[in-house]
Amino acid sequence: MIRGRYRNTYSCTDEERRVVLKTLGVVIGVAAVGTSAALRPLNALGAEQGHPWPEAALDQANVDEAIKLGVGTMSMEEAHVTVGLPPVAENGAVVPVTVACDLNNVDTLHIVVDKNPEPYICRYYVGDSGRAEISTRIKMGETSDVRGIAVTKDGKVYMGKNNVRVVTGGCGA
Amino acid sequence: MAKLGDAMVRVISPRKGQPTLVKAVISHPMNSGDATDPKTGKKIPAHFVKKVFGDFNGKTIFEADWSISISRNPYLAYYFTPTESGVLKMTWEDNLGGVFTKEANVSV
Repeated sequence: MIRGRYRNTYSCTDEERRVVLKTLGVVIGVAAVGTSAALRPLNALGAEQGHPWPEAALDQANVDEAIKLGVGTMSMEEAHVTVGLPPVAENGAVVPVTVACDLNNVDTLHIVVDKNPEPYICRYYVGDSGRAEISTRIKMGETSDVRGIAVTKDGKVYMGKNNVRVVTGGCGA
Repeated sequence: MAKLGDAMVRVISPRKGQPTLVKAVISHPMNSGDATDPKTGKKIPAHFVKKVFGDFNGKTIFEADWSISISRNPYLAYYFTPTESGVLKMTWEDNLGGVFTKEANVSV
């Protein structure tokens, strides 16, 4: 805005208005991006907090080896854990699964799909939750047993399993 | 069309001292790295969420290790027990350094 002696003879041109608005737009845009969820570099351990990601277990193709690496042991009691699955999974790329353990001192829950190319699927730390139950959706390659494994705070390991028929496999290309 | 990292967190009927259900979903491709792009013939690089955290009033109350075997646009339901009102903050970290967060208010 021009003030003073030139006030009556000069006013903002359209070009000047465009430049000001564009600058304001860029400033607001940058501020918005800055406050939204932005990429942050990870720290030296590869995570900002929490337990190490079980890379060896997740890469393992053999079921027994995967369980040994992911859970820590193969010896488990088949009790206390239920695995909820639909009777048939039309689309193996999205299979809903619920793992629940009725004990009150569970530390971690694990999901293992026997016939998947990488059977160890995921792990949940539910020690502070108050209820050892999780639901998610997983990819399955073919009809297979799905095992839910619970490890309690005093080191006991329990397992439950269920089976689901997969019509179209969801693991491949 | 939701963009990468758009997330939704719902806390279902929170009650003080009671295990409370949390449902969360995030837009993420969860690419395994095995699939091939039919147009280019090249492998689509692995891009998936590795870690999930749930923090309530600054304290971590939930953690998950995920892999390529979790479905695209991953859904998750878990429990936590709120002892006071506050804010539940969920964080998803993926293998390419992406970090996404979403908060939900909890009133008990």
